[in-house]
Amino acid sequence: MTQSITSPRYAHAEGYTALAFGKNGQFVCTGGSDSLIRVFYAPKSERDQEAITLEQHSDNILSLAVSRGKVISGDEEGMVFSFDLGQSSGSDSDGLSVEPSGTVLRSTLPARDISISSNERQVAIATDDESIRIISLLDMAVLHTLVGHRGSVNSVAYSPDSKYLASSGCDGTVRIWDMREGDPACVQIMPKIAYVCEPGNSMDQYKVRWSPDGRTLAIPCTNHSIKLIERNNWDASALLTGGHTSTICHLAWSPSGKYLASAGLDCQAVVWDVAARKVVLSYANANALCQVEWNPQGNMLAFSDCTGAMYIWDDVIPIEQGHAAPFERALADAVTLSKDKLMSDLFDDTAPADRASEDGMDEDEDEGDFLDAGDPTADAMDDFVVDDDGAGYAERQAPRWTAVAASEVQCFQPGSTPWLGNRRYLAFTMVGSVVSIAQDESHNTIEIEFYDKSVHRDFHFSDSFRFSMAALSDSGCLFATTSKELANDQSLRGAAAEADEVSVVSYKAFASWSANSDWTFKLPPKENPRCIATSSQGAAVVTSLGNLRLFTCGGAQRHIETLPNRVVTCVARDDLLLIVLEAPGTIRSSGGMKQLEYEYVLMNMDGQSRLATGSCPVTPTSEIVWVGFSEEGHPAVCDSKGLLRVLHKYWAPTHASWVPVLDSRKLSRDRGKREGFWPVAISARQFIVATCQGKSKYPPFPKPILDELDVDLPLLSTDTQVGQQEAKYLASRLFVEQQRGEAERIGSEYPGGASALARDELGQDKLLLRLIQLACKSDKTQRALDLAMLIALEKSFDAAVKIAVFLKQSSLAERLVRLREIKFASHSEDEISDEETSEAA
Amino acid sequence: MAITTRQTEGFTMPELEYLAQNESIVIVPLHRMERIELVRGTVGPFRPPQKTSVPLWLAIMLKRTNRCRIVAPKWLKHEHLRDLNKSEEQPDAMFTKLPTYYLEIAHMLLTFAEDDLVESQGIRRLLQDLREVRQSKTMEGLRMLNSLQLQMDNLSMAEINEIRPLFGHSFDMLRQLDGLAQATETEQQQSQFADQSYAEMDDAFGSRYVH
Repeated sequence: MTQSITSPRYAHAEGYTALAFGKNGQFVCTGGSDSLIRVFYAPKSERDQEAITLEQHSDNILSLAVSRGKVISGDEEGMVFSFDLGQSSGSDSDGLSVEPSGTVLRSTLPARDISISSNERQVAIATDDESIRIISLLDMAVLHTLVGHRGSVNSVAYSPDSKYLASSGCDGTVRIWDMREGDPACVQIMPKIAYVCEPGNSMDQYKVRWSPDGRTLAIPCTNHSIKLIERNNWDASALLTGGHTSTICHLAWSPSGKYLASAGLDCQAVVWDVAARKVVLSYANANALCQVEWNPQGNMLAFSDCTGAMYIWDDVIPIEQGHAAPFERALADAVTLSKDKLMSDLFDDTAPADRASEDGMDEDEDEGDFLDAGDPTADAMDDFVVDDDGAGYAERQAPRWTAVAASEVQCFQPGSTPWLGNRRYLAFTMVGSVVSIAQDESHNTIEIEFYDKSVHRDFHFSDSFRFSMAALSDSGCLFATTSKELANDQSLRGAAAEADEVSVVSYKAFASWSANSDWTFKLPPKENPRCIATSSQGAAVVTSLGNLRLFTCGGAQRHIETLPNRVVTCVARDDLLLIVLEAPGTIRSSGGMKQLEYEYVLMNMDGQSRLATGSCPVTPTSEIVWVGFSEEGHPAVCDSKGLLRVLHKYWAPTHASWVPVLDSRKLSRDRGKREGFWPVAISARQFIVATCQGKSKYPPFPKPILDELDVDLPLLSTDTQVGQQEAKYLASRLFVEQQRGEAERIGSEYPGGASALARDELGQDKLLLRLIQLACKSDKTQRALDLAMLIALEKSFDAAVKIAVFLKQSSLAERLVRLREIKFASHSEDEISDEETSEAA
Repeated sequence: MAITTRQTEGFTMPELEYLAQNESIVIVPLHRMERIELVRGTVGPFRPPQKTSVPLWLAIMLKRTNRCRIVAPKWLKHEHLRDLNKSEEQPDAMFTKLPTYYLEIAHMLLTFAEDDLVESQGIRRLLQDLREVRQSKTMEGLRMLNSLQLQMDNLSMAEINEIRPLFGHSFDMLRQLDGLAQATETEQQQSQFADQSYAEMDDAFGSRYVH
């Protein structure tokens, strides 16, 4: 086949030469060792025009990145400059202007690679020191410094949706950072995946690159091959070998994601068919190659070599031979698309509905529009016409549907965090915490720390299963793997469930009279745990097949049942198991907005009976982030808007209701600080949280001291004394009722005995008396009478009469005396039932 | 508490620390314990990991047996101390508000519970700075001493203790001198009066006596 490669264009002096295409494919910038940046016109007809030369730098240029409005370049002395691209219409190439617009960063060491985020607000810069800098393009402020690499960082790449940042170091380690919000956290470390290169040698540095749909990361690795890493599980999905005979130093994905171009020190430029994992084309140059780039809009490849020459390879992919065009955009990811200006108008309204019945006709239409919007060059236009739409589309549809399926139900383990550096909390409760520490590829270390050191001793063990879930109770700890280490990261959970490795559930008892009370089960293939729970009376595992498996603490399997496969999380306390499911009414819009609805099931730990089921409300557009039991036994749920609710009267069938007890978001607003609260536990009077510093959503290491937020029912006018007292009274009543109900349910007496009940009731009455006093003072006698109806003890009722007399509310006092006669007529028999009837009244 | 004559001259640091041990402090117990009845009141119950407030001596006792973590008081945080230092160093700034026994508490916490303090070295340094700034300010403030009063707000116990000997003596001395001054004044007045009366007498008796 004929390769239409232009003769070398000696753009720069001999040395490392960087290269980047403009977003509209109109121009290609090069930067070289003569510290110049040149901007060449890319379309065939304009190629002979004189290049624009920029003389801003004073050292070898090593990296270039181009966004829609900016060119950003970095050089060997560590200066990173930005240039503004002049607004130019596509047909009028003379309109192109590039003006220096400032310094982005002054580093002390060479800037090896630059990546601009998809919203073009941030830029990531890799320098020869061990950190990556994230800089705001709005004010050039350093937003974050990502530290973690040991050795020089030689490449950075934002995923197309900017959720992740991939970076690689000279030691061959590739790291993935979660850039979604707050402080970027390293979510994955892949040590020694790429080859180890010599720090400081520009020619030797390699780059990692994301595919345009953001699902795959390509990494040059040892043996002159390229590894493709799946985004969801960070496992190698494919290895491209056989194209190169020496080190591969630069990669470029075709805009469609179907082809991958690589350039190596063996002087070859190779084009791979990614799906087929084979070489499509290769070109042997006379000199070692530096960088290679695809034209985002055309069937065009540009590469540079170490003599400072730049080559343009036209019509790379022989479309006539049945190959798909390299430049048509992959339509796979709706989220990515919505950010893309070109596509948004077109797809937002029509696409989601039409996708299921997508056929060739739709596709043609789409392309037509895309073409108009995309402002392609004349060359690209020609290519579009010859394109046939057979090969690519079937493939294209598949990942889209998996994407929807993957985000179907996001389950989580209460009290777990994603990896924060090399550590993560697997469980964090009032009993203690379980921390997993990444060691190496074969094992992690699990550390269990207790709050109450008098009961159990802290311990740690080496974990060869790489458990990703843990549930802690005061008698033991249940672990489970999904075999994909990162599965606990919510967005990845769905994908991990598809993995076909065998999952393990393991229980470690803390103290037992019997010698061997730990147990481990292997789950059948394709059945993975989705969430687990344990209490002093057993263990529960909900699996990806929807099976709820219940075990005793000793490991006997005592129950199995199938739940709808929408379980979000589960949690246990003593003999109760609370399971939260996503309700079928859940709506997700394509824009990522979610209107989630939940259901709950409260059942016995032996699976024999259900106490209550129903819907589990959350604040609109929020989701459940934490589920637990209060210290006394109230099932509780906290949503992402910081509202905490408890399931009251769960002991009485059909009476169960969710009572909001605290708005923690409002609390932090009132305090005037932007604090994040990470729920840990709840007791009758307090919500126990770990306060997160700064923008972080998760508690730091080492384990922080927990904070206590007082329960504060969101009643009306809580800024007045009356409102506060009412909230206090309701909170206290919630507590007493629950204690009594729970005692009744399990058939024991009120915790602490009758004296404790009397004390609690007295406390409750005291709050009522204060309210009565406030009501009398403001002459609200009807309110005082209403409140008096609620009084539990006769003694307190006498006090209420006294208050009324003292405050000269004689008519109220009279009524109170009469009421007292009715209410306590048979008082000594049963105060409790009396109180309940009065409450009912 | 009986105060000996030596103590009126000033307390020693251990004595002050002893006094400071009655201040209450928040701890996170590591062992479950029931209520403890003390002379000063009850403390507890201790339910890890819920915070509870106890006298400092009990906190230190528990800490030494590794039965609790001490929650650093708000003023003993690195940032807070830095802010304090800043406002303290402002020209014409008054003394910032700190607990009466701040130095003693800080000293004890740094001795017994250093692992519970974040950036303890930094805290040490900042405390040292704070102490020095305040010290120079107290010395400056002593110049305002007069025979009636000396006012410096928000001085801590240790700082008062530091100036106690000097202050006591100088205040006594000033008062004595003042008393003397007044006494001489009245004397002078009296002697003036005497002179006058002599003069009057002279006038009365004619110029028999000539000075």
